Amino acid sequence: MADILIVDDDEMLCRMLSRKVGSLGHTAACAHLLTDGIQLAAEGNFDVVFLDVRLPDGDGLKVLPKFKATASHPEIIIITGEGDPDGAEVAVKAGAWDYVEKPFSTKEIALQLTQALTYRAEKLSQKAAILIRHDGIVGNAPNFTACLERVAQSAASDANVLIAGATGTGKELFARAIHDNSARADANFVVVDCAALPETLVESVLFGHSKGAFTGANEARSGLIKEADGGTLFLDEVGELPLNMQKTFLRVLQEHRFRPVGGKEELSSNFRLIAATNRDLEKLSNDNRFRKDLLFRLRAIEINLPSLKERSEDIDALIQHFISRICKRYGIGIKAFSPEFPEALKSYDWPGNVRELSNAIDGAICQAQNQAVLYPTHLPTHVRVELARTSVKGQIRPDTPRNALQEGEASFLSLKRLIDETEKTYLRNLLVATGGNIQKACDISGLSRTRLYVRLKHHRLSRPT
Amino acid sequence: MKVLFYTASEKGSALSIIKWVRSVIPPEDLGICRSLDELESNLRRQSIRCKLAVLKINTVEEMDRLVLMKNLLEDIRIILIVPNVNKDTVQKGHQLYPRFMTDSNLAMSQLTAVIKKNLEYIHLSRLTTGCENHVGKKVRG
Repeated sequence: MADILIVDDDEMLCRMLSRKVGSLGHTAACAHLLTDGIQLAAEGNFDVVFLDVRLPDGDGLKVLPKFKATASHPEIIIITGEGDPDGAEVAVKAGAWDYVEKPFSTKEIALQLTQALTYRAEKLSQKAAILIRHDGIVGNAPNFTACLERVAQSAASDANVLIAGATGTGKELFARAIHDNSARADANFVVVDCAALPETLVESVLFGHSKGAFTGANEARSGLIKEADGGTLFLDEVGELPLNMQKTFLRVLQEHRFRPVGGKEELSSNFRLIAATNRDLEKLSNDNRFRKDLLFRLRAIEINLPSLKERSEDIDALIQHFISRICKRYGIGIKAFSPEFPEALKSYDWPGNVRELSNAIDGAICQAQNQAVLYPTHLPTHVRVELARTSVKGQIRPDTPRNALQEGEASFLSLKRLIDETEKTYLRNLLVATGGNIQKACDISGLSRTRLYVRLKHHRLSRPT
Repeated sequence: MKVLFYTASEKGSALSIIKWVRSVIPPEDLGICRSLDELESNLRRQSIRCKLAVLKINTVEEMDRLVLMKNLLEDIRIILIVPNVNKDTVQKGHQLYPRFMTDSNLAMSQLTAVIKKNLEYIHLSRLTTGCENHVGKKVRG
């Protein structure tokens, strides 16, 4: 018997699904809001969560990692009436078991549930892969922990891995962690930085060359592919690999054999490939700038690293880590920081991600010189300027209908804005008056259920708890 | 100082590289270290936030010591010129995760092309992320 959680604001659907779950011999619990669902998931021990996407208090896809991160690590089946390919992609990347669209038959949903439970039983019976060495990788955010789990799985296999993520998210650290935890750890981890190699050199650097193969080839030289024999070849910024090289490299990847530039004989190399990119390779391949067949080969396992903004709860731990590491490097005592220091760092967007955070803390430590405590004023100028701009924006008080009228014609609201404000007040009062009962609210307002949800979402209103 | 160049000897190819590096990097952004002690001391100095290190290693002993300084070279793009391409030396070189590794036999034009490309990459990285890696903006030649 399994425990199933259904998170959907459609009470009728919840009842129908609960009955089906019960008929299969399992126990069901329901929540009609995300906040309630997360609370139930945290308190319970659920095996599967049926999760709606559009709920009155938020987007189910956005909080999917929170459900995944609860103690029982349940399987998630996304259910929605407004499915779209992008949503499906987000769901699968975030680790959902499957994605089903309403309307669905109870037979269909029973099949999904049975498959998910079978998978879960197999998963739980296997010993989880554990990362022993993960130097410099800091964070506990659910979306980040999911990536670490993928690293552990990758380390246990020999499949090609594609690590995607924006600049500064730590792609190379993750690649090294896979290598360091794999059976190849004693052999070389060879970096090929596709963005830092002149196009004319790529071929000889990768494959090596024989003596006299080209002007300047004074001696024969083995290439990086050979140097990765028995170890890992890390293709950083693989999206920058020239198109003609992509074709050649695809063959190497398939056969693990290659011919050095100017060489007569083929050589072999038993390397494991990890590639990383900050580009959208799917888009590049649609534009014919990256070979589709190579992309398929690269991403046997795919790890998508979140930006720092997407795991801002890790900023505290990262601050501690970087202060400790940087102070140690400079041979100075570990600096303390004021309560405002992490708050300031959390208010910034970090387009350069963890690398930029590390640089900013390094800069702050340098700026603080002999002072034992770091303050926001020690942060680099570009960070402080951005924080100041954000702070000023936050202080601009939006006009309300009443003060607009009081302040005269110059500050009159547009009619659209006035209607919008009035609608918001009306809906807020409606929810209070009906105690959050959607059916009653529909009856009173004359709005359809869908329309009511759309307007609630527009105004970011949720039902009172 | 954003670029550190290490060489214990200023003869032969090292001299040519120094001349070229001096011609493309402003003096305030370039530090030349003539001993590993000097390199270590520079890497530990707060005022020096090195982004690129061009390390010309002449002996196996230097190579061994450099590997021990690995932690100080984190977050720095390394261009490594090794004394030989023996399996053991190459293996040690890869422990530093260099962006490019070669020996002294590489043509000067190719080495400078690699350094230039790395400087441009660092500059581009600053433009796209706001990180203060502002070397490379004056790369010429």
